[in-house]
Amino acid sequence: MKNDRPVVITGMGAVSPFGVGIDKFKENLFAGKSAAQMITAFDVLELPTRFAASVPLQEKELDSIVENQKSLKTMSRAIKFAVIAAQEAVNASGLQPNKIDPYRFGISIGTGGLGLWDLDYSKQLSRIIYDSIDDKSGEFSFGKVWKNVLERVHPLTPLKALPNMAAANIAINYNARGHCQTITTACTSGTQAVGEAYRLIKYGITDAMITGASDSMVNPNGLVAFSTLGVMSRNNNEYSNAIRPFDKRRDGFMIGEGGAMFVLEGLDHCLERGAEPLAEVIGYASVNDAFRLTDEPPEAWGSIKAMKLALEDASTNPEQVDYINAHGTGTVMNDKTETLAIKSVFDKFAHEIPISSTKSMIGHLVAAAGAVELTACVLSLSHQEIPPTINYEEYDPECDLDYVPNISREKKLEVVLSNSFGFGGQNACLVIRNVKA
Amino acid sequence: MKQTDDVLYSRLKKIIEEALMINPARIEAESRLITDLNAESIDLLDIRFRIEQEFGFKIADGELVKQLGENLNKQEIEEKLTVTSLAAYVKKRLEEKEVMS
Repeated sequence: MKNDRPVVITGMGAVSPFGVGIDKFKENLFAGKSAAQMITAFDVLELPTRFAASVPLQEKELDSIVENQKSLKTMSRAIKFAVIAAQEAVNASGLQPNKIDPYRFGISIGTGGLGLWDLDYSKQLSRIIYDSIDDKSGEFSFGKVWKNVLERVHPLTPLKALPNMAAANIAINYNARGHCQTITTACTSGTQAVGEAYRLIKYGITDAMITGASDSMVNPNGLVAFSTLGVMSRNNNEYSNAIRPFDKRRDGFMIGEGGAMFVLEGLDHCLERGAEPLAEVIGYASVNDAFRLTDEPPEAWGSIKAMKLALEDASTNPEQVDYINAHGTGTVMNDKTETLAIKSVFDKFAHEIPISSTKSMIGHLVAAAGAVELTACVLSLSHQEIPPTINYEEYDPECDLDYVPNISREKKLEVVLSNSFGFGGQNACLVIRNVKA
Repeated sequence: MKQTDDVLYSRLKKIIEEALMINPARIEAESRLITDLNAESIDLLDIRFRIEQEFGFKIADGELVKQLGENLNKQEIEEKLTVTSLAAYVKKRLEEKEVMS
């Protein structure tokens, strides 16, 4: 199959812990701001981690931005992020869906946490459980829980939990009738969703795709889930500078939420309609460690292979990479293994390539991480500036590369690599290139 | 307290307006929910749930359609399911509820 069609990004949109829109994201990203906040939306007193990077908008404010108001009743918080980011991306691209073949216009979305974990439903379910005491025995009745759920919970609530509902809503909004897929591969979902969209266009299956990812796990279930796995920072007292990727004192990540969407097109399709590309996607790869569910292999074979294959797909030599947006969670294991993997792939050039973790500012957006980080990569190309790794103070001999500490850096950038690694042994990498050289 | 028809109608209209997110001016007494107001299947589930919560009675599966007539085909259901027919059903159920109490 022919696979030499150039693929470009023509529009992007974001809902990030800095707010709605690419501009808000950009401003704070290069300023090296932390989006960390103590959680006030629910009671966290008994939890080991009490801070996060939430999207700073109330549900009603988010709702007012969604263009298709009728669909709101079936949307989880994460679906709203996806739909709002898609609105911005499509507007920015200038793509007019009614002027393209709908069956060559597709959707590829990464998703993660279930809508049933959203705060409003969690509260309602807790109340239902509390009320499920048998009148006669005075004992808790498990059976009564389900009866109460049927009576009290809105019948459309289960639709919020289906992983493909973000993709479905976006497909409806833009009459995209072509290939439609949902990728749920934990922390690599966003990178894979965009990578697979790139492949569909590259191989000529579609002409244009709306792609990206969203997630919202800043809720009691999400917080408890990651707390039990012991991967989040517990440095509540210093929450705004607790997240220290690659720093010796790092103690885990901060959970974030949000989403980012892109319009990807074949370059021919983009030029035909007179649009201007923001960047070119030139390489992608995805592999699995096939090792353990949450441990990375100490030799880092999966992340090494993913980077190598992505560079190969991009016909790019290691020394041509000007910046690496690291997965950089801030856990002891990730940052050490990722550093090892980068050194293995880039060899003698590893020390010369600036690497940064934008998770130091916005936290770990889980399924959405790769998508939001790709917007950071596109912005770094268009501004010729690298966002910093904030809160970096103490050198770790096992993390001995250039992590762009604390202050953004101007640099001539041509090629950027974005890494995403996830639970389940997932590894995915994207390579993008400046088109305005 | 007995509902006047007007009060019942305006409460029902509000339910339809909120479930379908449409301008209330579009909702008329003879508006057909599916044909004129574009209600889809999930909207009917939504409207049923909202009626149950608002008026305090349970609606069994299929009951909203059954009360329109026996053995109706899809087209007949679409034709008969109007704001007025729904209001008549709610009124009947409220009257039954009153008798029971």
